Amino acid sequence: MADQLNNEGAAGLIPEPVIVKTERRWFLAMAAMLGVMLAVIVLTGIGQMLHPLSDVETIDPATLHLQGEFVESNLGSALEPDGSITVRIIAEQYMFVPHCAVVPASTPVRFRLTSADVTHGFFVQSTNTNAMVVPGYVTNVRTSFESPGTYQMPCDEFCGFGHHAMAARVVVVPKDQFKNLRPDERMNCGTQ
Amino acid sequence: MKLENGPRLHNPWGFIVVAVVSATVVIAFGLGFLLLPRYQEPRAPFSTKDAVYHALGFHIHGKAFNTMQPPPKVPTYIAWTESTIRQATIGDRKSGEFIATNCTACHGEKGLSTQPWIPSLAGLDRLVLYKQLDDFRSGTRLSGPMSAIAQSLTSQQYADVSAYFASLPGLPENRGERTPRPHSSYRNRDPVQRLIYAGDPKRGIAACASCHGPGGYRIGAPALAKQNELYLEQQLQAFALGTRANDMDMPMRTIASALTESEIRALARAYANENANGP
Amino acid sequence: MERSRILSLAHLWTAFLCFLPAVGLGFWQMLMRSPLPAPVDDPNTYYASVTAHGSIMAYVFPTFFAMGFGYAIAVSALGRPLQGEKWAWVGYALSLIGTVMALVPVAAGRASVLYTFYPPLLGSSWYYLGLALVIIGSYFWIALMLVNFRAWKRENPGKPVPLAMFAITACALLWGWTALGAVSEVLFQILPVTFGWRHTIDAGLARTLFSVTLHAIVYFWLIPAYIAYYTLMPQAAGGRLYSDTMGRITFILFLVFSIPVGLHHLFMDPEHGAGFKFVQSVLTFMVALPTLLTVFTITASLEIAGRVRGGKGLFGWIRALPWHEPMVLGVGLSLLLLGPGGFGGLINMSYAMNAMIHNTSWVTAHFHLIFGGAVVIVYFAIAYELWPRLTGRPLVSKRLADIQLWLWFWGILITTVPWHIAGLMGQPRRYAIFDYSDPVVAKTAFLVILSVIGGCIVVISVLLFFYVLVRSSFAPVAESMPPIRYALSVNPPATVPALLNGFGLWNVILLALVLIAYGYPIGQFFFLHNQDAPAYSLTRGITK
Repeated sequence: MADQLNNEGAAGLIPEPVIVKTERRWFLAMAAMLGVMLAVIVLTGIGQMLHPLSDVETIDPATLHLQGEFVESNLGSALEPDGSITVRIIAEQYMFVPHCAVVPASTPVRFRLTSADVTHGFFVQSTNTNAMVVPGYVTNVRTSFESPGTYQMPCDEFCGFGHHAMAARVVVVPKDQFKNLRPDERMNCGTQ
Repeated sequence: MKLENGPRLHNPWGFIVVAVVSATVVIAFGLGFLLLPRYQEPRAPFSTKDAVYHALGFHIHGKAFNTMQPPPKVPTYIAWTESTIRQATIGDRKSGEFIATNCTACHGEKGLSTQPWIPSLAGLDRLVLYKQLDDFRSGTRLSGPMSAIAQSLTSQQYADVSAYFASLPGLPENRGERTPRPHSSYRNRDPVQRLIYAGDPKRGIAACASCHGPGGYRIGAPALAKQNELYLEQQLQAFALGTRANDMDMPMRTIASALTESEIRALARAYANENANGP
Repeated sequence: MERSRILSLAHLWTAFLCFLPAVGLGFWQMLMRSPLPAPVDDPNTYYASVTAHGSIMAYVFPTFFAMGFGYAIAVSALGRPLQGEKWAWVGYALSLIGTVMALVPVAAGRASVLYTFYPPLLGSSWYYLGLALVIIGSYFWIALMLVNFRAWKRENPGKPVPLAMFAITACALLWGWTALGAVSEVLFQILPVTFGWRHTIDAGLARTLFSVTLHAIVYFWLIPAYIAYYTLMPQAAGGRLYSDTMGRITFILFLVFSIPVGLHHLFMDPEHGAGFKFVQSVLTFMVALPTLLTVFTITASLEIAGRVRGGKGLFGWIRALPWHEPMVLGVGLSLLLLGPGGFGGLINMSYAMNAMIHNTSWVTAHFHLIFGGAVVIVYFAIAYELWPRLTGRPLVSKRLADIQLWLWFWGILITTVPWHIAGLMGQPRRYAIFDYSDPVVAKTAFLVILSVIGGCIVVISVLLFFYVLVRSSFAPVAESMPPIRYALSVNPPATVPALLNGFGLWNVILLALVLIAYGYPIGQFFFLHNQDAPAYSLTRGITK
């Protein structure tokens, strides 16, 4: 009976040194595998500049409309001295303002977003452009769009009862069709 | 326990474990703070100090960053800070009732307007009323008579009169709650009901009800149920054209400009004929 | 012994009776998201439902299950009566009261903030108080696990603590440390606002504190399943555990590495620099190690059982295994689900690769596959194993139990595989409804319907599970019921190093790692300024 209860048939079936050896081998193999994956992450990080957000900037969410870079006249696409584009967008219950952004293709684009109320998500579909928009902080995302077209930009973090209808668009136009903006000029789909 | 641990102090495994974990952490910090940040920006690599700063999250904008802004345009001087909210909600209903005798000529007895282009005020949220009065005062919302009236009152009187109108029975108060209401999704075939309860994300239009109720609430957004139809229609058109621009962070201008003329009419009608439980 | 059986049964029944309606809600949510007709077609109700489903599945169900299983282990593995049993009932009562307190405002639509409750969006105070109470109740369990662990060690100096008890104590310690994140978020940030003492909240700090809990909670769910892998399955299969030492190392690795990795949920957040995101990404790799070790040890244990049962050749042992035993089948299917689930997890944790799938349906599909699939299927198997021992009545039908496990396996696969693909296509998560008239959204319609079919199978499986449990509870009492037996290892150790027989050093390393990995990320918020956001209420009455 005791034999059956403790499955004595398996007792000592494999000598302990063998078990220790095989497990050590497996341990090293798995550690090596994880090491390789880590190396891939580091190398792509270096080679293709794949990184998560890294700028911690704070901002008072209650007074966005009164002061600073998110006043309404400063929203939308701006041309930088180096030819890159900065797009400023406010996320709020339940829309993005402006709700349609225009950027040129094959140009470095910096999205700067912040929230006027709760946490929202910023996600340009079929791209890697994906970030959280947390009230009190500025989300600073660098990207560039290679192919012209219209990209959907739904909010991808729950922000309240209207969350499912919170969506905007990014329109990517060929570089030569993008209007040459004055330094103090801002643009979105409506103003083009 | 002591006896058991005593002789094992010389056991090398404790040291090996600590060493391996420490080495992992050191490598992780080295890669994450010294190596990777140097390849994070097109203009990298920068100095070691910059790399560590950047990895910690201190933002270092390049000289290329445009700081020239167009002249600012302020939609409203109200900001929903703690002090403003307190100021707007400490009104005295009794004093407000006295001030409100000036309002009845247009906004009706007991805050229920009989003139279709003038809004009813009975039951509206105090914060909503307070903000509109302040906007009339500052000129960010335009109306001849209202600007003059608002300029003759103090902000304490705004709070008083808001408290009075908010206390009146009339428009159903939007508490942001409701019992489940079937057919309030995209499955509903009625396009107006769809807009009110589900929105239209294709065009970036959020559901009206998620801020204005029933079933949703957003600070500063008035309840719309039973409001005068013509008033609602005119305000939506004004937002769409930008002739009314006192919505903080532009929610109404954004949405109204995406609506068609016939949708604006239909929405105004639906809300005007609505009861507390929905159109 | 009789009273401690009732204790375990009360916990397990509570766990499963909460689980049942939560599964029903989950199925309705799938219908709401699909192009198919759905009853109560209302988005607000959907968000309330997700809050209830998530709160039950993430906090209530696994907590009660771990508590009930833990008490059963403490009694059966240590072979001594449970010390401090009345405190166990106090913990049970607190957690139960907390569950009701949390779910009533959710049902009333006043706490639809979803189970991750990201401030400054706030719901009713009762919801947060209730969840805090569930966790506080579980702290009684944590204390009792430690007390009984110590008491046994005192009585048996120098002997190795039975692996099952060692593991459940690691699980309790892990939960005790990690729950502090969410608890401090609720106590120090959320409740002061919902009570009206403060009006603003630092959303970044709140998300960071929550991340302390958010990842390790997964291992709190997982360890009970792994205990079955290591100690119940080899016994049921008629074999032995390949290596006792590897089991201990696995559970220690979980304890040490599962907390300082939570920042990988915040890769896409603006309130942290990339440096600590990377450091925690590396530590996340470390926490993948114990699972990879487990796959080997458990497969080897299965092979031993198969060979003892006469299996020959390279794969013959697989056929020789007693697949009719629910425990063997459950663990086997769980291992199969762990493969794709683990692969998905590797993508989530990989620093910048996360951007591809962050907050898409991929993530929801991932944790439904890992938790719903690989973990809960073992919870079922554990229930089938424990029920006869706790009730003294035999299981009415192992065949029905096996069918139930197979249905669950296929149901979860059919639910989650299309869901993953929809996520890759860019379907955002946490949407009550999708506008399928939009051609972009319409492309996912077929996948979503396929998911709903999987959901149907899952629901049938759960109903069958309850049928088996209830029928078994009314079966005639067996004349003799063997006690719960835990597998010995092939070469049972007479002693184990002190390092592998206690948690002293590991707690120190754990705390040091948490300090290193979270010290700056949490500390920085006290030096930032201007970032506090006014609290926002879905319904009225909180910000005022």
